[in-house]
Amino acid sequence: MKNNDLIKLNHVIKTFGKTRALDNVSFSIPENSIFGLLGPNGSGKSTLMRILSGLIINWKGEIFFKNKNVTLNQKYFLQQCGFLIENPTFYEYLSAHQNLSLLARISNCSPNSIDKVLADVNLIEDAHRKVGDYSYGMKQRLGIAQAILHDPDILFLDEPNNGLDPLGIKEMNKTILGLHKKGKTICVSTHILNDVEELCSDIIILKEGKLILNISMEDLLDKSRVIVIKGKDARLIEKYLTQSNTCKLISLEHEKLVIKTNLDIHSISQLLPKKISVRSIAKEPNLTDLFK
Amino acid sequence: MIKFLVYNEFQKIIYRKRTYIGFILIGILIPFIVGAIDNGGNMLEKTIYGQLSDSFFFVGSLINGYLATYIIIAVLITHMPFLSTIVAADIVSGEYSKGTFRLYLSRPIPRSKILLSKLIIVYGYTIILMGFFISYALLISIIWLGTGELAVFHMGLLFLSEDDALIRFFIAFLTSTVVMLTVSSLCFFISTISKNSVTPIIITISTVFVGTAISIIPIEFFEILNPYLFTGYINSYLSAFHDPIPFDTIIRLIAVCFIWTVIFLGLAFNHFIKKDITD
Repeated sequence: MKNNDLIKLNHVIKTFGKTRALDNVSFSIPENSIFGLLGPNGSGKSTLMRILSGLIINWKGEIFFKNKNVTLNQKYFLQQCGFLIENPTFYEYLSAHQNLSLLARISNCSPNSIDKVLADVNLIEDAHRKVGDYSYGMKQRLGIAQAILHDPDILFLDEPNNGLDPLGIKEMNKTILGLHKKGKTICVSTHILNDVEELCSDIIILKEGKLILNISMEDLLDKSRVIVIKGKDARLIEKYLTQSNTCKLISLEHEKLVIKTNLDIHSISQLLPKKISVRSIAKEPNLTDLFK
Repeated sequence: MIKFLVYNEFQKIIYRKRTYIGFILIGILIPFIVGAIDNGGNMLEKTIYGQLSDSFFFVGSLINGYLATYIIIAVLITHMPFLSTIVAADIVSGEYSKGTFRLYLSRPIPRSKILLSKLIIVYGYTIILMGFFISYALLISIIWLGTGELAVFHMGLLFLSEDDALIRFFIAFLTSTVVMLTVSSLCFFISTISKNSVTPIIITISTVFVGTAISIIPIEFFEILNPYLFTGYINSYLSAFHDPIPFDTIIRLIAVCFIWTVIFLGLAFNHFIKKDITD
């Protein structure tokens, strides 16, 4: 566990019948990061969120929070965490204020914090309306309000932009960034790639329950500039491209040349004389490719 | 913490319309029955007198508030499981189906305490509903028909004095409430394993029906089985109007109901604490 890791998951496995929803997943969430948990539907994101929130109890592996085993210190862990799991569900026949009052009573927080968090998510004027009369976006904001009610250190938001219109998404991302500025570590699960680029400092990608990528956003953007060129004349290609000062050599092995550049594939092919034989030019798999 | 949890559960049920269905039905039905008894009192008396006119000479009327309450309990007691399970059926399964457990169970509270708070509310509701049923029946009947000696059939016609009647009704309330709490416990257990609130009611009522059938059908095997089933005691409120009151029967009733309640609650807590919330 690195010094700045807030949460560490070791070999987490969850099976539903014969299906492995999470298959030996290990990663760490750095402190003060906005951590993106990515993957297509059914990849295991929500299962992971439910394990962290204590909703799913039967799983294998270890999770540490500030070097303490979460299973053995669950109360302490949950006190430090706020969760918004999937779509927001509330007692629809109660008002937003009453809903938060229920949760405030069992979260050891003062009733004053209810008005504060409702103001934070712009719901103070609708505080005494029944939640059943709320729009989806308002419910989603109320979901954030209940998650931050007890001022947790870390927030887990499961698909917070799901079902929101573009304006709603913009508002939600603004709220998330605002919370991050206040010093909260945020773990966001999503399958909307635009959110990731706007919000996240670190990401992991899950696919069919397996961890397929664990990388910082900085490294990912750097990686997206990497291009792989294959051909018999790899050495000659390298000579042409490095001469142009727009490409930097990373590696050259047999017929495979790896370079870093800001140019796109078309521009690179323009730099090469037609007589040079090139078998393929391709970018390193990017986020979208990995998602497919 | 448990008092906050109980208060939360109280707040949840107090704002729900379905909580009041039982009270409204009882509130409407009882005056109708009392009115019907008042209206058809002569016919009822003739039926009773007709059976006993060879042996007794009757002066005055048997029809009064106490007899009306006795009849009302007899008529409605087998339907009370429907009403007493309204809250129990939904209290856990409703949170699964609506997804509200996602909010509630991700808080730093042991699940056992959350379930205990729900159980307290279910039991509170059952006791209040049964109390309301019997006291409201008594109130309306006494206001409408007045008081008098209570005539019941137990090894012939038994007259219980006016002073004794209220104590008998209180014992009837206790015995019927003990059985109804066991019915609620069954429904509560089914609620912890069901993902909708209809299934617990159907299973509970079916169990009561089957149990009642077992207690009625005169087959030797059923007669051996019946004393060990809580459903066999649904009509045991009648023992409160026997003379002398058969306390051994009441103690057996309490023991059988207690054992079944412990079984149902043990299963409910065991299941709920280990359950993965995936909805």
